[in-house]
Amino acid sequence: MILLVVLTLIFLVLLLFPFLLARVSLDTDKVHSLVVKNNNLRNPRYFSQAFIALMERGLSTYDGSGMIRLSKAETLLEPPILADEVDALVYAKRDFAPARAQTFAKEIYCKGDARLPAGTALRAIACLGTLTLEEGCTLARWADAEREVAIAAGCALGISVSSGQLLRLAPGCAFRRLYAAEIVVGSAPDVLNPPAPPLCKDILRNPKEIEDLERVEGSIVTMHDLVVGEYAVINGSVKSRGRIHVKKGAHILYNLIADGDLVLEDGVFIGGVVFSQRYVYLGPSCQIGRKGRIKSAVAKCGVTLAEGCRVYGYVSGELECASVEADAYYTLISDKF
Amino acid sequence: MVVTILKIYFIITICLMLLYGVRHFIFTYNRLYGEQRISYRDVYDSDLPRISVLIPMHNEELVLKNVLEALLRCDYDQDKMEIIPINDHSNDATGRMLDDYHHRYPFIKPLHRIEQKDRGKPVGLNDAMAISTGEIIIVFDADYRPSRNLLKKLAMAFEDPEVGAVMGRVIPVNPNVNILTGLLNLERSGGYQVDQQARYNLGMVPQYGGTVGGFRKDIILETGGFDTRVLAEDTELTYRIYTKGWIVVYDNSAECYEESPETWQVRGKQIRRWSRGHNEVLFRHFFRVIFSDTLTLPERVDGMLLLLVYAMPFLLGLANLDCLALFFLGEMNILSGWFVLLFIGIYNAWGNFAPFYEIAAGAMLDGMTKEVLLLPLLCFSFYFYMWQISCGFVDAVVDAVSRRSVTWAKTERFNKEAQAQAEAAAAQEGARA
Repeated sequence: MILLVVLTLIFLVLLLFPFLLARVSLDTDKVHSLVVKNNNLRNPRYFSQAFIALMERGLSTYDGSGMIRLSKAETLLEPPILADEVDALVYAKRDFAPARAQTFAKEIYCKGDARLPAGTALRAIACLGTLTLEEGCTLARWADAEREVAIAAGCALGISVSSGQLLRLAPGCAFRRLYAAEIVVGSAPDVLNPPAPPLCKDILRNPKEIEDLERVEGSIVTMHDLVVGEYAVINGSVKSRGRIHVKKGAHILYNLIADGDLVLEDGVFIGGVVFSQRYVYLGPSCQIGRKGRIKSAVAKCGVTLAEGCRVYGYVSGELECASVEADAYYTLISDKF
Repeated sequence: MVVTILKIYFIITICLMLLYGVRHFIFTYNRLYGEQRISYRDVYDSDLPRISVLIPMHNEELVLKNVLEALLRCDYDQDKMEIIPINDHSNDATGRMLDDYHHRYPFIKPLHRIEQKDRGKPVGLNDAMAISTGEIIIVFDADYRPSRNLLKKLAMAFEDPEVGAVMGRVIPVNPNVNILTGLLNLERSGGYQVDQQARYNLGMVPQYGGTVGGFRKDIILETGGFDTRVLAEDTELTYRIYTKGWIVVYDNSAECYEESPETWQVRGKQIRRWSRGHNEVLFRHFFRVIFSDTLTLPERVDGMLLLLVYAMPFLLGLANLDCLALFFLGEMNILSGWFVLLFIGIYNAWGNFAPFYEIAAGAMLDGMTKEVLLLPLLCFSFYFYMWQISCGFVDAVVDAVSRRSVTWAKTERFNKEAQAQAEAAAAQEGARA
C-alpha cells in the first residue's frame, strides 16, 4: 500500500513537474521581447568609419602621452615604430610606410597614404589617403581607404576590404568581402557600356539554353540548369533554380540569380546584381554593373574573380573567395559544366 | 458499415497527423542542421525599385504616429517611395492626423475611404493599389514599427525575377504581459524562426503573412486585385502567386515588432477569423494546387499540407468523437497488431513532435532558454485552439455553402503606452473645458 502511494506520488510529481517549471519561468519581470535593432543600417565601410569616429573622439583629448582613451585606455604609438611585433594602436598623422615587414596586432589609423611592405601582418587599417598592401600581406579583420586601394598578389584579406574609389586586386588573393566604387582584378580592359533599354516585363519560362547571338526581350525564369550562348543579349533578369553558365561575350542587362553555381566566361556583362546560393565565378574581363552605380556579386559559398574582371560595388562570399589568373580560372571551372 | 466508416476515418486522421508530425520534424531538423538559404538582404544595389507602402487604418489615432515616424526614418530613397495610409471609415482623429502628415510630407498620401459602403483590408488595399505608383507594394499594419533598414531588405528580394512576394518576421513586443502573450511569443518564434525559414530552405511554400511583407503590384492587379470575399487575403495571395508561377521568399532578418493579443477572448476571435479565412482559401485553391503545372513536387505537397493546417483541428476533433463512438460501440479493437504503432504515432504527433519541435527549436535559436520552459502549457492552449479553429472551419463551410459575405474585423489593440497618452490628453482637454 505504501509502495503504491509512493509510486503514485512520484507519478504525480513527474507529471506536474513540467507545469511547475513553466509556472516558475513565468516571471514576467524577466521576460523580454527579442531585440530588434531598429536603428541599424547596413554600411559596407562600417568598421572603418566607426573606428575613425572613435579615434577622432579619442584624439581630441589626446595629450601625446602614449595613452589614448577610447572605450578604454589604449596604448598609442606613432611612427617610426621599430618593434617587430606591435601590440598597440598605431596613429600616423601623415603617410605610413614601414621599412620592413612587421606584425600589427591592433588597428592602424593613417591620415595620409599607407604602404605596407611584403609580409606585413596586420589586424586592421583605416586610411584617409591611398592604401597599398604589398605581396603576401595578411589582414586579420578589415582595411579601408578613402582613396585607391592596391592589393598585391598573395595577400590574405581577412573579412573586409573597402575603398571610397578604386580597389585594385592582384590575382592570388583570398578575401571575404570587397567594396568600392570600382573593383578591378589585375589590369582590366576597357569598360563595357552597352545600351540600357527599359526593362521588358515579359518572362520566358523554363528554357534550358539560349542560343549564341540570340536576343531575348524579357526576363528568364527556369527550373533547369541554363546555358546562355556566346554573345547572346538578354534585356531582362535571369533566374535559375539550378546552375547557370554564361558563355563569352553574353550580355545580361539586369540581374543574374541562381540557386546553383554561376559560371561566367570571358567578357560577360551583367548590368545588375549577381547572386547565388552556391558559388559565383566571374571570368576574365567580366563586368558587373556600370560606372557610377553600385551593384553586387554575392554568393552563399564563394566568389572567384578572374584576372581582368571588374565589379562596380560589392563582392561577398562566406567561404572561399579568391582572385585568380585567367589560366587558373579556366582550370577551376573546367568541371563545372 | 457505419463502424467501418468510423474506423477508416480514424485511421485516415491518424495518418494525416503522422504526416504533419513528420513534416514538422523535417522542418526542425532542416533549420537546425540543414543547409540554410541566404536571403537577398546582403545585396547592395543603388537602383532600388519604386515602392508604395500601404497601411490599412481604422481608428488608429493611438498608434499611427509610431508607424509613420518609423517609416520616415527608414533608409530608403524618399524619391522612390510613397506612403499611402488607408483611412478606412475611421471616426476618430485618424483622418485629421493623416492630412497633417501629408501637408508636412507630400509623399505621404492618405487615402480616405469614408463614402464607400464596403470596408475592410482587402477592399482598402485594392483602392490604394489603384492609385499607387510603385511597382512593389509593401504592407504594414498600423501598430507596427519598422526598423530603418526594413524597407530595403524587403525591396531587395525583388531583384529575383521569380519572386512575387516577400515576407519578413514579426516579433511580439509584449511577451511579458501574461501567460497568453508568453505562449504567443513562443508560437511566433517557432512559426518564423523554424517553420518559415525551413520552408524557404527546402524550396517549399513560405507564406506571405499580410504585413511586414511586400508583393509585385502587377501580379495582383492582373488577376483582379484582392478578393474582397476572402478574410485571409494574405494566404490567398500566397497561393495565387504560386499557381501563377512566382514564389514567395522569406527573410528572417527583416524583423518588425507587433503587438500580440493580451486576452484569450481577443485571441480567440483572431484565430477564429484566421481559420475562417484560411479555410476559404483551402476551398478555392486545393485542387488548383494539385493540378497546377507551375509547382514543383515539394511545393505541391507542402502547399496542400499548408492549406489543410486550419482544417486539421476540426478533423482531429471529429476523430476524437469517432474514437469515443468506437469505444462505446465496443469496436476499439484496432489496437492489435501494427495499428498500435499508429496510436503511438498520433499521440506523439500531438503531444510531443509536431509544433513542439519547431517551437522548442525556435526558442533555443532565439536564445529564449527560459521562455522555452513554458512549452508544457501549450497542451492546454491546444484545446482552446482546437475549438476556435474548428469554429472558424465551420464558419468557412457556411460561407461557402450560403455564399454569405464576410465582415472584416480589426484585432483589438492593447497599446498601453499610447492609451495612457491618449487618456492623459483627454484629461487635459477635460480640465481646460
